Amino acid sequence: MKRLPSLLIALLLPLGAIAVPVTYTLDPTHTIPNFSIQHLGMSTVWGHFERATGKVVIDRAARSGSVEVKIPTATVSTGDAKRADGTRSRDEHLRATDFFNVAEFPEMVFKSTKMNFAGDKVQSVDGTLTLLGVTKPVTLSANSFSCGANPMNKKDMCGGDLVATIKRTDFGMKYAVPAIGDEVKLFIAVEGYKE
Amino acid sequence: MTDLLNNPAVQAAAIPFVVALVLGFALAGTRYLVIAVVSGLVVVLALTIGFTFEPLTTVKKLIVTTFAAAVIALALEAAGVAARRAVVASLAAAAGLAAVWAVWRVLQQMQTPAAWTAGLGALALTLATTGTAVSASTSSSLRAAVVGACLGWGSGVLALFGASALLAQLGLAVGTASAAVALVQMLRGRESPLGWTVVVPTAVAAAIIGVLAAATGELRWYCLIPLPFAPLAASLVPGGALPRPWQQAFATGFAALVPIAVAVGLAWFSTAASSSTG
Repeated sequence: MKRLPSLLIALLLPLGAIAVPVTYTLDPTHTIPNFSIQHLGMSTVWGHFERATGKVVIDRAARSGSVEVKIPTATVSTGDAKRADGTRSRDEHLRATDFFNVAEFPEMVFKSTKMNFAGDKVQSVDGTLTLLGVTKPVTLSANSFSCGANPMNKKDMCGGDLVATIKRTDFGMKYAVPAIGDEVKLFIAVEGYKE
Repeated sequence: MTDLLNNPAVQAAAIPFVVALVLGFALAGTRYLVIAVVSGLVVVLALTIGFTFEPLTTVKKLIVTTFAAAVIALALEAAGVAARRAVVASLAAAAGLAAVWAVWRVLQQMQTPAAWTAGLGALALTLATTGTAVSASTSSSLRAAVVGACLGWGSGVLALFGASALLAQLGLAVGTASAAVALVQMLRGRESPLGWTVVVPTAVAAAIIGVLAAATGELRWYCLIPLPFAPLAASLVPGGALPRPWQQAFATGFAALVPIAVAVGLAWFSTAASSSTG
């Protein structure tokens, strides 16, 4: 009888090695999709979206996971929100049918199909981006990705920078090519807290 | 050459004008001038967004509707159908429903009361614009072309206030093509055999461009109210009132542009007002 607890522990011990997937809910204030695009072949215009939401699920033992990010397209901002003279601003133009057509497509969504690891670290995420109703495969490379405790609130969190380059014409956004570049560089900063 | 073809003014005005002018002369003695008008749309599409229709966005639906209106116009002309009241009403109703179809996905994003208001507004504007345009054009293919030009140009300018350069280009292209068709008749010194259908695709396109500029852009909806009055104003110039086609065209155009100018003025002041309030 005295040996029963020891036996139970010995039987249950291996179960501790089986990791479960851990879900992190993205923090909208620290998940910022940024983009850059060539203007007239001269300068680069930078912009970003706000209030992105989503989840990251990581299973380190199984070397798998998933990412889903939803981005409200109406939040696009390139630093030209409104002009004092009443003329159309760049951000107003970006929200119109020529570009993001936010009235018809209020969201763009990235959904992963596979998470790739290098050792314990997330190396890249294969998935699809749905923009303007068109879904195309996109691979986000992780420039950095790490997890740990937030030094202020002590909550478990993960975060990183995910980058990719896409062609906007692949998604039907053809207006003003090549004056405004076809290639768009994405730089998505993500942070999420463990659920 | 590439830089020239990428110039928005060339895409929306110069090339559509030349193409419509050539086709207009070729078709001047026929009842199928609508082909010359639609050529403007074909040209601007070829130079800008191309001919893919997946996914079927609001702009793509606008294009499909305009082409469908042209096909219907050709069929009516080939069948020798006169612009009787029932025909005009049916065309206008179909155009109104097509406008609702075009903005359907936008309406789905709205709260129900707002969606109903916007949908009924889109239907009413397109029905009224198409109905008045066709009614004003039954007796004169020259007036049909001039009305189409004014509606196209007007919708193009309003689309600019709606923050969509592409919609503006589409409106200006169909307007310019209609103007080319009018010019053909002026240069020939006589009107073409009846072509009241010339105005059908342009009126439909102009109305839906206005609807999209308001539904998906920054244009205030009330700026579109004067649009259906442009053909009515044009019809105040009696057919044959002036001896020469170019005189008739200019008088008709001037009359039609008055409501257009009111619409543009409303858009201008609403833009200025919103900028001053921040």
